[in-house]
Amino acid sequence: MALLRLQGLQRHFPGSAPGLPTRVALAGVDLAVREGEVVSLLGPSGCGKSTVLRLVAGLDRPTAGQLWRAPGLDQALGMVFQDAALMPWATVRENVALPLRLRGRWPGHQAATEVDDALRLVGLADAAQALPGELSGGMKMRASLVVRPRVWLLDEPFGALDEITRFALNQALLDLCRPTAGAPGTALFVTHSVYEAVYLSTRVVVMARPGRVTDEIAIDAPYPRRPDWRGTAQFNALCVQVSQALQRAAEAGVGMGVAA
Amino acid sequence: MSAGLRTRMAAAAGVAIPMAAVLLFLAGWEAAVRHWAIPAYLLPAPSRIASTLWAERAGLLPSWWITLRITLSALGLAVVSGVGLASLFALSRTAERALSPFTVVLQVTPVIAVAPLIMIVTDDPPLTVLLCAWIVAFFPVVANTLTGLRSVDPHLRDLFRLHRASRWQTLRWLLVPGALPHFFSGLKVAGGLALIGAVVGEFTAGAAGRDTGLASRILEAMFRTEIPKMFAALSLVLATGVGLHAALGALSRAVLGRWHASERDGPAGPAGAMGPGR
Repeated sequence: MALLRLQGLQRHFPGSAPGLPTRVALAGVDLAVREGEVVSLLGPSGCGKSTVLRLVAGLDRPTAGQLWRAPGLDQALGMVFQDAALMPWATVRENVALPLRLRGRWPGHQAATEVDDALRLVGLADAAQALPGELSGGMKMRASLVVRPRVWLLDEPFGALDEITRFALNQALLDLCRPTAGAPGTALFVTHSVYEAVYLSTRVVVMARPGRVTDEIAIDAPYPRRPDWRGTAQFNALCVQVSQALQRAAEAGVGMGVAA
Repeated sequence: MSAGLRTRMAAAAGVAIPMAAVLLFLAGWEAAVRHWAIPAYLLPAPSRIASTLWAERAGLLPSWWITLRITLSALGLAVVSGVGLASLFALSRTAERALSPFTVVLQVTPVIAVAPLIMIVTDDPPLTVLLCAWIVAFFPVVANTLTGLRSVDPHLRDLFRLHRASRWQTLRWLLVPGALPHFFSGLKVAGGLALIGAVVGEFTAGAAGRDTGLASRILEAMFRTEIPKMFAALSLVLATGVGLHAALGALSRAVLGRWHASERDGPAGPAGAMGPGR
């Protein structure tokens, strides 16, 4: 079942000063995301990956084209940013409870149980009363992944972390997004890393400047994926395939005269 | 050394070192006055100032109370008007464009120069003094609160929008807590300025009559060349300023407490280390 459908989606930003040309962030993006898919958006800087995410999240409006969301989906989106947007004055528990609070369900008995269970699941039960400033980068990222929405929108969530933490969190994200029991998680994931895209996704969507999709590569590997999969010939072949698509996208974008 | 002990020792040092420095300064002053036999009408010794303060308490304390009351009222007014205006600016660019020239004018106007004008218009010395104190205390509150409201993490704003937060929810759970540290640093500056404004305003408004503050006592003592009394009144002003600063600092720590400590130290830092508030 499709959860998201983008058809000919365009977003133009007016020039930052009079006389400057309009910047085309998205020139027409077609994309569909079905329930249970983890779709990576990969592409050179300035190709509009984050703009797609912001449009899907409803933080921005398209200039033209169609954006369809499954009924009720706008209430069930979760977003994670590169620097783990947590309120520095509130405890981890209160941060996690923010979406519930904004829906009028916090404080509440059932909500408290939900939050505490979720904290335990990501191994943050002991840090529930800590403030974000007291956490490491990895713990902060885990804290922003606690509440499970119907669709994750992830904007380079691991961009600022070191490689080892990044691998560990990739694994944590896989476990969170694709729970072994119950419905599979769905995610739209912006990344710069070919390895991350291949390791986490069911499908890699390659974008080029100005804002269009140039390639889609299905990652046919079963979940759960474990770290030793990174050593296999299949993983490496997929990485090569994605890298080549990315290279083509970068070349296609040359000379388009679009600022990042 | 345990973290708890280290914290307590750091806290003790944070009080003891400045105290020791002040005592040393006063002792040096006292010794210098005695050694060179400096007459009290040039520079009274601290002990002489203290005894004068005690002897003149009947005249000085009511004046101190008046100055303190004006200072606190002006600070209260500055907080209400400053936070109100900053919120308006944060909500509306047009309001900011229209009104910010006036706030800048208020800031750059020397209070000494406008006090006589205010006096002419109001014809009410206590009100003139209050307005002078308000004028100088107002700007730091507006400027800092506005910076605080504007400095909220844009990703957190996005998060609130994503979850369809109402304006009120965004204000209550994002903007107000996010702006608090800036507000408090503005408040600390404004506290000192309100006191200065209250004293300077009284100097220039030439307040006369019974209900006059410490500035009038200082002027009075100067005209009568009662230099020790002048110093006694001045020391009350200073003590009030120090006390106000400490009280506002304590208030800020009580409200921001753990958040600020955690921001300052980071994950690996010592818990609750001493240091001046930002």
